[in-house]
Amino acid sequence: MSFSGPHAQGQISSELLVYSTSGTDRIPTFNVEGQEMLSLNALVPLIQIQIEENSRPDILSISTESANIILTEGQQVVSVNGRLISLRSAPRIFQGQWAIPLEFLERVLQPIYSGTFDFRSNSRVLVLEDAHVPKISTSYLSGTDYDRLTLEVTPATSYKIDQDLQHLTLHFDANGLDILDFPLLSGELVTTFEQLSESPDISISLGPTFDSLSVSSQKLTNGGELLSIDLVSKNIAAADASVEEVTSLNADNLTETLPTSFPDFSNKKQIRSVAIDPGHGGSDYGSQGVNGTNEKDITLAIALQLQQVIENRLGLDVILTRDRDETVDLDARAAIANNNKADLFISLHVNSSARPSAIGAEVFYLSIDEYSSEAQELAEHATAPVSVVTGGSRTINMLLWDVAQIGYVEQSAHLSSIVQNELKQRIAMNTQPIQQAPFRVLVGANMPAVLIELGSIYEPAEEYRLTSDRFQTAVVESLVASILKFGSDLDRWDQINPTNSQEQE
Amino acid sequence: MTEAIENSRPKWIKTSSYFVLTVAIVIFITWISGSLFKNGQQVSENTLENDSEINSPENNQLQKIDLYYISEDGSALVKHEVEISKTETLLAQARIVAEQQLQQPEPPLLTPFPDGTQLRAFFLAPNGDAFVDLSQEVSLAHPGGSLDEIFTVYALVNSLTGNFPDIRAVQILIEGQEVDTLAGHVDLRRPLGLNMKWVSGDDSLPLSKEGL
Repeated sequence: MSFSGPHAQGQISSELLVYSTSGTDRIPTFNVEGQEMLSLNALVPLIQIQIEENSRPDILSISTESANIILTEGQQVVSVNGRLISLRSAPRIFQGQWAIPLEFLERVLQPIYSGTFDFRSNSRVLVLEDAHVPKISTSYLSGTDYDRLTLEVTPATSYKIDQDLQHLTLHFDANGLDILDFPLLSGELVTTFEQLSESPDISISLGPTFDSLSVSSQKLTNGGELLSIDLVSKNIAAADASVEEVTSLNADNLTETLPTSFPDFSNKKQIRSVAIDPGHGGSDYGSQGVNGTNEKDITLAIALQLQQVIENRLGLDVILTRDRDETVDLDARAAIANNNKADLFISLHVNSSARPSAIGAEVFYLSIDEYSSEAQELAEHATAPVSVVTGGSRTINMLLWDVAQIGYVEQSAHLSSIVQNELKQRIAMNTQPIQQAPFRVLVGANMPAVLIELGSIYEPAEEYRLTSDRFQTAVVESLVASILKFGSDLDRWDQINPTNSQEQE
Repeated sequence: MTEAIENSRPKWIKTSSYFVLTVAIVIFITWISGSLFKNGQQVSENTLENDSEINSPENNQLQKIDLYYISEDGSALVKHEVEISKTETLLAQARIVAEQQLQQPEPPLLTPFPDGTQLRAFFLAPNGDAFVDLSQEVSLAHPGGSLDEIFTVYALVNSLTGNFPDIRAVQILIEGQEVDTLAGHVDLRRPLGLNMKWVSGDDSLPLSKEGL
């Protein structure tokens, strides 16, 4: 097909990729007065619509199985079965061919089309019939032990990986690929990342320092799949002979990390409610990235997603210390969790390091060294007798409310370990993945509690990553899996930690 | 002297204040009687002269001290040894160290303190607790982030407690007020003691647990 008419009037800007089961077609798009348009005449042979000339040359009728559409040149209003739809830009006629704005596909054709008509405006992709074109979002992280290339594939699509010396090819079982973004490569372990022309294959060239790789994948709640390729350099491999070299992998061999069966939470000693604390908020912006991203917004976005997944999938209550952009005192955050009798407390934060190399997630739990006097008092006065109305007295457990976390440090340490293990399967971790610190928001929590620094917003690449759906979904999946694992371990806490086990009321 | 410490302070601070008053009376009586007061321990502002002496208070003598900066990989604090002139009192010497710690170092050293952070006042309590009053820049201009906040706090805490065994712990005040945190993380409601786990190269490096 060819379309040359509008080129004299408009400047070619890009192209629309049309995927169908019979192949891939490219329709050029062009700018007319700031609006991106394409030739309707070029599109008609690919889709199930008929166009009919009208007695007036400036009017065009389009018919489909279920609708009649009337266009008028120069008019921004289109009639669809008598209903008027307003467009930002009017259809035009160039050299006898009709040009329509791209939004015409989304606003007019997509709603009335009887078959598959999936227009993706951001990537200028149109998927027709039963063509399978997964969306792929990528990222590349340089780490101290290895670099990680991740591909979020939506919907999940079977694939195969072939390695040929310094070259890696990912074959997806699809008609095409809709790659939303390409990774920023370090240039040492991976030199190029490209989609082979119109094929569902991705070609990755490995750099001179490449030594070995390993691949893992996990299902995502949105129906997608997260594919992680960890690449080890020769320097690291020489230092760590335990790194396993994988020369050819098949998706069938990969293990899923997300548990598929959920424990029964009906037991009173198991987890029934989870307090999620989106760090900062309101006038407290938290850390800020160079591109203006605020820590408070990232933590709230992840907390809201986490709430939805925990409630829908696990059926647990979720208590948010804030569900909007508002200022909440540190005291109030622990109090909200305590007053609602939450069984876990997870505080979400984003780091900002003065050194660009300090990236990756960290999990903190309370250090009690700084509260030694309170811990001593707690140890000496752990119980006290109180009178009861029926006469006599009974012994109750005493709690220093201000430092309630002291009694849960062992469980918090265990929770930190679980969270770290889940996170590291999905996102990059700091070189010190678990640490103890006297954090204000943790000390008053009367339940196992952790504070998670999800990454460093200081680095622009990290800032971008922290705001991506792929990253935030990975965090949510990690924490859901952590809650499941910790809930399961609570059941056998006496065996896990026999010397320091404690009753949870 | 103690106007920065308000009535809302915890009981132990108020107790300290009463103790200060008592000691002040004792000092006055001692002065009146012509006795020499030595090794006085009172809540002291840096201008007071009657303070515990440095071990060898000879003039022009240098003392090696450790200051703390952020390591090159940003994961810990690192020690940096410098020499300062000895002064006659612990109070004056500790104040000099605090001021040195707040100054911008030469690259590649990187300070954990935001630009503009100033020492407003420095106090010592008889129990060995130091109160370091910083200007508001330490909080307002802090970039945030848990680890860097830890480094800011413990650079100051360790530079005082590590160099002066008589200083038991350090509490940071901002603009004369007690604060919960600098940037939303580290609990500053009580004096903090020496903690070398945040210092690279020390025997007690930051915890790194892969599993329990």
